[in-house]
Amino acid sequence: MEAILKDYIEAQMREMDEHVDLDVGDDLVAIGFDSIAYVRLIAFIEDRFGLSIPDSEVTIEHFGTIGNIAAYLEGSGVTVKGGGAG
Amino acid sequence: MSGAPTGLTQAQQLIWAGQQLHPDVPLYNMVLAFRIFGPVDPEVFRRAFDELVAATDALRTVFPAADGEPRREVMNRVGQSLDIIDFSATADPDLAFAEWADRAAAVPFDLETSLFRSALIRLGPEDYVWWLAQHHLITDGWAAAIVYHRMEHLYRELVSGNASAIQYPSFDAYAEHESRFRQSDSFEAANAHWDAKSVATLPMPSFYGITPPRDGSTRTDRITVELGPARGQQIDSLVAGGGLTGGISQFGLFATVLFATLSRISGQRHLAILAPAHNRPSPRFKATAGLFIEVLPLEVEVAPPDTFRSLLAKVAAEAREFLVHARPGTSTALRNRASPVLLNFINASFGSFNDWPMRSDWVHPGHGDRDHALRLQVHDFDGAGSWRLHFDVNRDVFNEAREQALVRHFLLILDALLDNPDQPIGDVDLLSPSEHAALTTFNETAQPMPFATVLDAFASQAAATPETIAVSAAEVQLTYAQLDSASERLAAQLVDRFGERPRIGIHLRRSPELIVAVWAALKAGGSYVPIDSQYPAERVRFLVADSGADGVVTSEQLAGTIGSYGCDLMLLAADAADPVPASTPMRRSGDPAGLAYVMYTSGSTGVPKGVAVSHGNLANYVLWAAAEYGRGEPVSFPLYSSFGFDLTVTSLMVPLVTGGSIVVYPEPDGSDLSVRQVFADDRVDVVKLTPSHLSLLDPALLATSRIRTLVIGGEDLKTAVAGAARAASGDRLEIINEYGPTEATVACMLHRFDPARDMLASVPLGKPAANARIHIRDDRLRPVPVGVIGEICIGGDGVAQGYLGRPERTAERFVTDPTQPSERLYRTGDLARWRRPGELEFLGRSDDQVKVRGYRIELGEIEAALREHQDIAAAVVDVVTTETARHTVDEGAAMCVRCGLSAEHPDARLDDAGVCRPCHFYDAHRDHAAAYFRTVDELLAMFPEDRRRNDAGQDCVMLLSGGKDSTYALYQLVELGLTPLVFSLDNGYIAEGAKANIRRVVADLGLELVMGTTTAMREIFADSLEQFSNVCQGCFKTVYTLGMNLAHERGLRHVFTGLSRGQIFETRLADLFRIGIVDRNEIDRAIIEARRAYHQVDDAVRRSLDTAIFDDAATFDEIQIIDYYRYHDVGVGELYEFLDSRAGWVRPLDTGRSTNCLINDTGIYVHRMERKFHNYALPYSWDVRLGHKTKEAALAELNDEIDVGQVKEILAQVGYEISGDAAGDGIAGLDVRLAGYFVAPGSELSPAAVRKYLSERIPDHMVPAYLIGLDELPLTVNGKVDRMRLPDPRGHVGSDDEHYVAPRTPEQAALADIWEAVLGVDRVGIYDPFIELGGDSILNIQVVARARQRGLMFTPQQLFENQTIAQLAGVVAKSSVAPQSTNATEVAVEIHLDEAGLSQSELDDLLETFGEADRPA
Repeated sequence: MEAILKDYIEAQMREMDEHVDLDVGDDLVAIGFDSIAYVRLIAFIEDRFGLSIPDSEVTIEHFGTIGNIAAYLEGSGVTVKGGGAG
Repeated sequence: MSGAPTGLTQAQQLIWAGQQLHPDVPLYNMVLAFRIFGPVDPEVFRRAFDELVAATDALRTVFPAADGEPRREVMNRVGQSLDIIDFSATADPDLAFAEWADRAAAVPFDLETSLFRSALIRLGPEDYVWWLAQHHLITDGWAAAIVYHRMEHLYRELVSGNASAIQYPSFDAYAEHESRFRQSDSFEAANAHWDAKSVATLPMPSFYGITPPRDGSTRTDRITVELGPARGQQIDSLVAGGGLTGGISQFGLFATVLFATLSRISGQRHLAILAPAHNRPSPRFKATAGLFIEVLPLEVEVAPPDTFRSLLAKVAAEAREFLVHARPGTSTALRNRASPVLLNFINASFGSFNDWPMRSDWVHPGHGDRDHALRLQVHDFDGAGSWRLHFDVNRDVFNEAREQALVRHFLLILDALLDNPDQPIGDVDLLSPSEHAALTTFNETAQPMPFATVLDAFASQAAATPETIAVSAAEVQLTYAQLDSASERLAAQLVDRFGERPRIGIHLRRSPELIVAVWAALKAGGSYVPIDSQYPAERVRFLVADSGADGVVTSEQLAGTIGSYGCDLMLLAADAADPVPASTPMRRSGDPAGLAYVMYTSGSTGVPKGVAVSHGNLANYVLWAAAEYGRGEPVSFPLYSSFGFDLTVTSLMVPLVTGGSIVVYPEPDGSDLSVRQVFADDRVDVVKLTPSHLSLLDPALLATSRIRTLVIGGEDLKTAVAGAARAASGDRLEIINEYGPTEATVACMLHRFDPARDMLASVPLGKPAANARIHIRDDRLRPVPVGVIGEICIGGDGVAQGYLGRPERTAERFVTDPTQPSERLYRTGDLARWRRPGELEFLGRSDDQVKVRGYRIELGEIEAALREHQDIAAAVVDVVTTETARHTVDEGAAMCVRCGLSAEHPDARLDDAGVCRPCHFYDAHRDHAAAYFRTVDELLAMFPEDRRRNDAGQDCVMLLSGGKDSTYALYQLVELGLTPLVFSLDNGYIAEGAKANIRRVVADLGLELVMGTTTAMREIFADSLEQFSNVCQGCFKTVYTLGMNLAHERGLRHVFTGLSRGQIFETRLADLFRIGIVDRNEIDRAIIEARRAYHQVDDAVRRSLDTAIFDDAATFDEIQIIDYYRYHDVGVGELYEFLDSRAGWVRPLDTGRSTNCLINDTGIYVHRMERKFHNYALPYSWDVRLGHKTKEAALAELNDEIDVGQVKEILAQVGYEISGDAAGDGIAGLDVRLAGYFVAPGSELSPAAVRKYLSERIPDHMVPAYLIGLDELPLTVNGKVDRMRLPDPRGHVGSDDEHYVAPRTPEQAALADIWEAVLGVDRVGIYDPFIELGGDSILNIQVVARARQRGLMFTPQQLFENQTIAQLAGVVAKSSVAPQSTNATEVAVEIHLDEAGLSQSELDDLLETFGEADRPA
């Protein structure tokens, strides 16, 4: 799960010409994640994991870091089959 | 000195091109005035500014262009600095500055030298303005804030002495990033998303009834509104809780209000707006100055039940899609004008300057992109917690009243949302108190009527004037007393015969007895059902049954034509002085709530509905009309129109309550033109008629007649028609427009035509009738604001009881007024809008609104444009809908890898390698086939020099279908020296083009043609469909049977077929090979045996045709059938090449796949439906095997688009029903096109001239695809245009829109070349619109540049205004000064001729002289 998120976010950053190597604890807002980036991230997560996330849940606690997001998703019952990144 | 040249970003390309269209217009000037309240040091400020320019590459960017291609260059140094201006000494520094700023903001930039200007303006000791104007090419809203912050920082550093060299991120990085991104999969995905959006086909929203023009001006007004802190807090509290995505919710809120407003002011549900996407995803780009935004559309449906909250959710979802896909480089010219409305939500603020207070002002340059009728800019630049709104509105669309209405309505809707997000959007009342008051006054129509029923009114009149003539016919006159008495006696008989309160169907010709019968039915306490004497029997029986009539009053003669009515009859003697035998009179006074008559209207569904009209309804209308038309005097009307039409109620009732008389005009035997007789006779005062009737009249009669008033009803009355009639009468005639549906009892509005004041296309509907109330309502029955199109809803005493026996239909149309529950409204389906409160403009039936290629079109608008042509007397526009079925070979479907035969074909049975059985079979029998096929020499050997010919010198019969194969074979036979007698079968469906081909080819070759036919053809087709699910089998057998008979009769011993080798293999050889017959002599014998058996089979052919010769076994020995292609191997390509070189044969365009036969598609369709595979699949696979076609070509040929309507029509003709559940399958879509019919008496107006005329007046999408001139429009029995009887335009000359039309002049050819190259399309016809080919502003400029190189001069503006090569060439010829244009005279001549109004044939003759014979219609 964390690997999937890390891959996606790094690809997003690369697309905006920012080359980063993220840690699960890195503060996404600090590296430049703005509301639009979050909208895209949520769209990706909903698409990828097949759930719907209300705007009110998209908070720093749940989505501040890759680790937060993974924990939030696992708490929402999302599992990744095979555990691979992709 | 400047930097290396680089390309523009996509957004810059668009802005650059937009500016080129208007080189001298400051439409992209972005001007900010920062008012700084502090002791600014001008010198330090100037130094700071110079450093700002040095550190900000965007400001140093210029855009030199060569050959229409701009480059982006960054200058190393800029000579330009900051102006310092001092207005502090003027009397009013603020005013002086404001005047200066207005002027300065509107000065255009030279994109090659500098894209900014700046000044520091002193207004007082501590009052300065930093004024900065930039071109949009180098900035956007966010960039403006960046530049301000840099300036503020630089000034602060300079005054504090801490200045340090600063390196800001360069715009180059973004340009490079965009160009890399455009190569990525992410870009492709985003692009695909935008391509898939359907906004391109959404109708343009109308702004209070005004639809933005495509080529308007750039002039723009700005209305600025401060929302204030209270609303700011409400907005904040509503959008709070959005979390990390919260910033978007503010945008979503404004977008929701905008969508809701647009929906309410346009009456449209499906809407799109544009929005600039911020497009600065990374921290680095957030700190980069320059143009980043991408303008893209959002699309939302505002459904009638939507609340603000439900719409907010829709908008939020759409906004998310928008943001996910708004990636660098994705905006395009087309996407930029997907909507005329743009919402620019700028989430940036400036803040104080060096700790001094600062207030910003965005100065509007007075212009904007002309594609945007409304740009709503929303920002809080000063961070004041109060949103500032700029409504930048295009002045072509918005006048002052509409501007104010827009702002007022936007704020009303915003406040409603903030007040209660859960209320339905449609509930917000948009009318102002003064509008409400005006509409209330308009509907103050209460007026007491002197009688409760027409019975009382008539009784009173009969008592007052018993000896006055009430009814006058050719041989009979009835006084009031006689009519009264006769109807009372008949009333008694009716009750006697049919019971109390009888419902009486009256089926009589127009006559005194008809009038007696009507009054008798009412006097009996009952009601009547009018039945026109000319209705077909089936319709008469339907009306009787549906109305539940207790009995029918008719005449012996009419009863004879009907047979059984399905109820009891009473026969009245015709033309008797007193039609009613003596009996006791009866008079019941009517009950106002009781039923008076049931009038049938033909509903849009096609099933007539009976409208139940009460005595109260009827009395209200008749007494009002009597007062309006009689004005206290006796008034006579003719009874000449259809009794089954409620227009006639006026003539039947009104005279008899005024003391006037009814002059009866019986139905003639032929077409009903009694209206002409009425005017010729001149015995009445008032005539009620339809506008179509009016156009039938002889103007000379209008000038001299006694008739003083024309009451026009039934259809929209055009001002031109009314004006012509009035002028013909020498301004004597009073013309009254009466409006009202049957459901509101004849009429509910009236207007006296005034030629001096009535200037719109249609004569106004005027004011409501007595006790009638007229409303214009939206989908939810709420009042619409002034200018907004809504539905006319009628309330008051005329509103009928409903539809007899149809509670559901009644509930749909007769509704409770939600704004006033005591009011019952009838929804007319007619569209109108308030021009001013109380002044209603009629806009036609809502049914007349059609969607063609996504555009919502009012047919009436096109009709009006046609009628405005000086030569056109009448016009009607209709919709032609073609149901199409697409049969597409699925590329992924299983098929033979070699020949492409579908795995679904029962013979295919693919092996593991994917090869079909017929292919293996062919492999196995290739040599046998080769042995069977012969050479031309062998064929010739059968016809030696000394052969016997028949008496006519003929050698053989050739069966010619007119298709490519048999035509080619015929030519070859003649080249071989043979003289065939040609036999063709006209099966009833041979295309005209194919018949013409047959005649031309035969004449070309100097041969004799026998065109055979049989009356049994339809039976044969039905039988063929029944047995084989196709039509060809039956046709083939008919051809053989008739062809053999012909050969026999003419003493000919050879009959040639044009069967292709594939068909020979499939039909002749395959079965024989399969059973082991491979020797060619054996094959020949077996084929003859098979043929004998074939002709013995009992089928429709054998039953219908003379087949006696086949009973003689020797026939096939005496007459040999020869397949020409057995002796000649030729590929399809070579065959077409040969035929195309022969003038005699033209490939028909109207037959679908087949080259000759219209019924072929029917066979294909039925076969696909019933057998699930294409009946050409196997024959075509043989063509592939034999090397005559490639697999790809064969598969492509199996893709059909079949006109299902035509198929169904043909199936109905031959009497065949597709079996089982297959019938509903395969319908892929509807192709909708417009057809315009016009009547231009005494002129030879060509469709092409009309097309040109229309294209100059209405948008291209409204110009009908088909234009057809008619001698007269067909009318219904009610005098309305009979749309059912308009000719089918398909295939009519003038349908050029689908067909390519080649350039006709060197200019056009050159332009077509250029368009093809620039647009990247294969072929451009001269009527293909630039935009539809994908042309946009960038491509426009490239076209202009390339044309210039070839000496063709025109501006980008002219290209946008002249969207087709045909139009553009006209402009080029006029403006061209280039010497290369040697054919300018020719073009000019053509234009001149067009305008000279010459007939088509005269034009053709002249053009032929100029070598331009192929002129399209």
